[in-house]
Formats: sequence, C-alpha cells, structure tokens
Amino acid sequence: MMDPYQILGVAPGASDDEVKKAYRQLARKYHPDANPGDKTAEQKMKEVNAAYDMIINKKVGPQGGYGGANQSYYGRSETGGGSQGGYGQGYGEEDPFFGFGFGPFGTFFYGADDQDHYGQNGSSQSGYDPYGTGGYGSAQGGTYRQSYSTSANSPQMQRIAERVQARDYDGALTLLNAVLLKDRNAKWYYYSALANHGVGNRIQARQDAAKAVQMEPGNGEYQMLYARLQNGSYAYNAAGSQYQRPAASLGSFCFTLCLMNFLCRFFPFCWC
Amino acid sequence: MFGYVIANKDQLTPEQQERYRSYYCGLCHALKDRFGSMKRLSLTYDLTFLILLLSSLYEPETATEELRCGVHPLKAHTVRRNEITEYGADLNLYLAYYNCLDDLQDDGSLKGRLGAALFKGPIPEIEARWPRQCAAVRQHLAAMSALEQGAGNGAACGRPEGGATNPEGAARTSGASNPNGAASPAQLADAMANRFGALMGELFLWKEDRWAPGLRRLGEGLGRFIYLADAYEDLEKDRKKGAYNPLLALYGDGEDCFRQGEELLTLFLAEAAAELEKLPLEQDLDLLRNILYSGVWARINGAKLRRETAAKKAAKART
Repeated sequence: MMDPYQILGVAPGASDDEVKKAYRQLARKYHPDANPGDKTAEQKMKEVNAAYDMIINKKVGPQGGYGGANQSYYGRSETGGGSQGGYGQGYGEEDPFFGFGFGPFGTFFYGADDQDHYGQNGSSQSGYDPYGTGGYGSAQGGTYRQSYSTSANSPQMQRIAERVQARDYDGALTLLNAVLLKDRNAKWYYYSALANHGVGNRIQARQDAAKAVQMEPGNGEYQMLYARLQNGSYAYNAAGSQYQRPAASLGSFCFTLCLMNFLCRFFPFCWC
Repeated sequence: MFGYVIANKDQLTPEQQERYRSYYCGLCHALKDRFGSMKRLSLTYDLTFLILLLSSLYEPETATEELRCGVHPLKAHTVRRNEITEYGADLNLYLAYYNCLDDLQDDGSLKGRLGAALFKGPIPEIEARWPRQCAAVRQHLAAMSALEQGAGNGAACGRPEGGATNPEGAARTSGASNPNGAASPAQLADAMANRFGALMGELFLWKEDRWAPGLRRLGEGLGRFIYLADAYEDLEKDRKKGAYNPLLALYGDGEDCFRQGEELLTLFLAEAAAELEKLPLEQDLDLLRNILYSGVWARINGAKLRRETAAKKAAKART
C-alpha cells in the first residue's frame, strides 16, 4: 500500500490546499483526455485519484459529522431507472451510533471532559478540534461501551437498537412508531434521532436529540449525539469566520440590468 | 428560489469582482445567443455560482472577450464563456420557467403568467439536451407540490398533531405525536427540504463522473438551504395567507422561530461547504468560499434587519 502523500508528491503534513494543487498538476499530466490510449497514464491517474480520496476523506474523518462518508440515498431521478423507493438522502456508510459504545470514536470537538461532568461543565467547548482525533481515548471509549450495554433496555427498545445497529432505519422507524406516546422516554427520542438521521431527516433528528437531552439532562450519551449533530455547524462557522457576514443591504452588481428587467416588463422592446 | 446563492461584494477584491461579473456576463450572453434577447430576463447569480464551481473543477477552455452590450453600451466588459456556461444557460431558463409556473399556481401572479409564457419556447430543446436534469426538476417540484397540498392547514398552524399522511412512505415516520404513522411537522419539513435538495443535487451533476457524488451532496446541501431560506423570508407572508411554512409549523410564531431557522440554515450550509472543501479546486476558490460562507446570508440578514427595525418602531410607537 503506497503512501498517498508520496504519490501526490507532497510532504506528509501538507495542507489541504497544497494537496489539491498537487492533485491538479498531476491530473493535468495524466488525464486520459491528454493521453489517449496510454495505459500507464491511465494507471497513474487511478493511483492519483485514489491517493487524493484517501487524504481528503481522512481529513474530514470517517464519521466526520455531515462531511464524512455521507451517501446520497437518492441516486437517480425516476426516469433514470432504479428508484430506491424513497430518497431520504441518508447516511448509508456511517456508523449508526457515531462510535458511541462500539469502538473508537471518529472526530470530536469537545475536549476531555468526562461524562459525569458534562452537564455541569461551563466551558463545553474546550479543545475544539473538528478534524482531529479529539480528546476521547480508548479508556473513555470503554466507559461509554460499559454504560451503553448495562443500561436497561426493554425488549421493544432492544429490537429498535438492533434495527439501528443493522442500519435498517425504516425498520427502526416502524418499530419506534409502534411505541405508545406515554412510553416515549428519553431513550426512545435518542433512537428516533438516530433512525431519522439515518434516513436523512436532519430536522427531525436534531429535534429528537434535543428532546432526549431535555428529558434526561445528565446523560452524556444523549448530549454527545446532540453535539455530534451540530458538529458540522461548528466547523462551518469556524471555517467561515474569515468571511464576514454581509451587511443587510443587497447591493446589486448590475443595477442597470435590474432596471432593464423592470423596464422590459412594461416596454418589451429590444434594441440590442 | 433564486437570489440566495450570491457573493458578498464588499468582501471581494477588485480582481474577484471582475471574475464574478465576467461569468455573470458570460451567462447573460449565452442566454441571449441561445434563446434571444428577452430570455435574458431569466438571468440569475445563482446559476453563476454553479458555472464558477464547475469551471473551477473541470477548467474547460474558456473564451474571454471584451464586449459591449445593450445594458452596458458605453464601456466594454470582460465576458467569460465556456461549455459550462452553455449548460448554466439551459438550466437557468428551465428553472426560471418552472419558477414562474410555481408563482402562477401559488397566487396567479401576473409576473408568473408573463414569465411562463415568455420562457416556454425553448423548453423542449432544453429537455432534449439534458433529460436527466429536467426530469429531476419536474419530478421533485411535483412531489413538493403534492406534499404541500397534503399538509393542509393543520401543519401551517403548528399543531404537532396536525401532521399529514406521508406520501413518501408511512414507514419513514416516527411521528413523535402521531402514532398513526403520519409525518410529524419536522419530517414534513425534512421531506420538502430533501426534495428541493435532490433537485439541486441533480443539476450540480453536469457529468456523471467521479466527482458526481460529492457534487450531488453539495447541491443537496444548497438545495435544502435555499428551500428553508425561502421559508424564513416568507414567514410573515405565509402566516397571513395561511399557506404552509415549515418554520411556522415547527416553531410557531415567536422570535425563537427565526433563531432555530438560522441554526437549521447553518446545518444545511455546513454540509454543502464541507463538500466544497473536499473538491480539488484552485481557480476562484476564494470567490466560491465567499459565496458559500458569506454571500448566502445576505438576504437572511436583510430580512432580520427589517424585522428588528419594524419591532423597534412598534416598541417606540407604544411608549
């Protein structure tokens, strides 16, 4: 397995922009259009593409919020053949539990606050690190694993958990639906959030995650899910901080064109 | 639908402004050359973003000319055009036509009627050139219309149990307050946003190649944003008309509605921006970032300012 940085000809610590530049240079050189019929060029292009994908996707993280291994559920318009019966734009490839209790976590942006103090900790954003490996090591991963599996699950909830783990979100939603209103506890909202997230119902997922936290404020797992769903927004705001938000006025580039639009509605003539 | 995906001019260097304008001019010229002068009325900045994005990714041969035109008869402007500009022009007209049809259906507006009549001519040739994209536009808009009609008044008034039967498949719902399997207000909002997202996603695919999945997700994120931004701006109007508005249905009428709306808008944009950062873009990257991180907020901020000004006025009038 070759080193992707070596293939692209950049140093291992190269910035994203450097990686992109290197890719472009190599793509111009080895692109099939520039080298018709050249098998070595074709092979080289494949390597370069694979190297680029590896570096870029690792940067954002295997479970990196909404920027990670997202899959567009809905691949084609109906005329293209093979509609997938519903098109919820979910996250086929992602770990359904974001790594909670089932192994090492992906990206994190909260610092090494432990679970017990989560709710009381004033500075909940220490160690902001959207693309790094975050502050939770395997020891704390073990803690989560433990707390997850020992929490009492009713048979109904257990079946729902299994559906979610199996990424059968439709199945999970059907089961969730069958639970009576009065029985919908924080855990129900937690699974509902995960299932809805899985089918691409971002608004519903966020709402359910918030509800779970609201119903059981001390539960670190629920806090984590809610925070996880917000991950992308933090990254966006951080990346965008150098671009100030615009002042209120719109400021048209082409005022004369707007004027022309207006005039043409009443005087449809064309002089040009 | 249009007017959200624009640049924040104040933050652009003169060079960036020139490049932005040159692609916009290119689109305008393409509309005129392909469809005639009057079709230029469909011109938008939003499609200019798509042209810039795809041009940056594919770096096609681009013609640069200094031209005068009917709108700028005295001073020549730089005009940049390439294969992707032509694609953008086709999409621009197609979307403008369906946008007008939508306006027409919504409130029988004169502008809708005139626009639909004006833009109708080239529709068949555009459909012949881009069957996949055009089918997506028609299909998703129709689905959104059906969803909206199903929503009825219950959803618009924000009662949680007012959710509609979900034509997307009952199994998809968990309906927090709807044990009968109907969609909750949030799921309906998601369905609508995802539909418009799917529409945009399809348009962002000029070709179905290795960049398609990422471009599709970028388009989807932007599509969800545009749908909700529209709802954010139209909130008052929809409330008065009793029309379906996802934010109204979700959060009711207070200031919290706008705050939550802004958080959701950020959520949607975040996905789009993340996809942008994954593409190997070099040319005009700063300009594209300006649009996605800053420019897209222009109208939202405008609406916010108007709201706050009106509230201040009302408060003053009471004292």
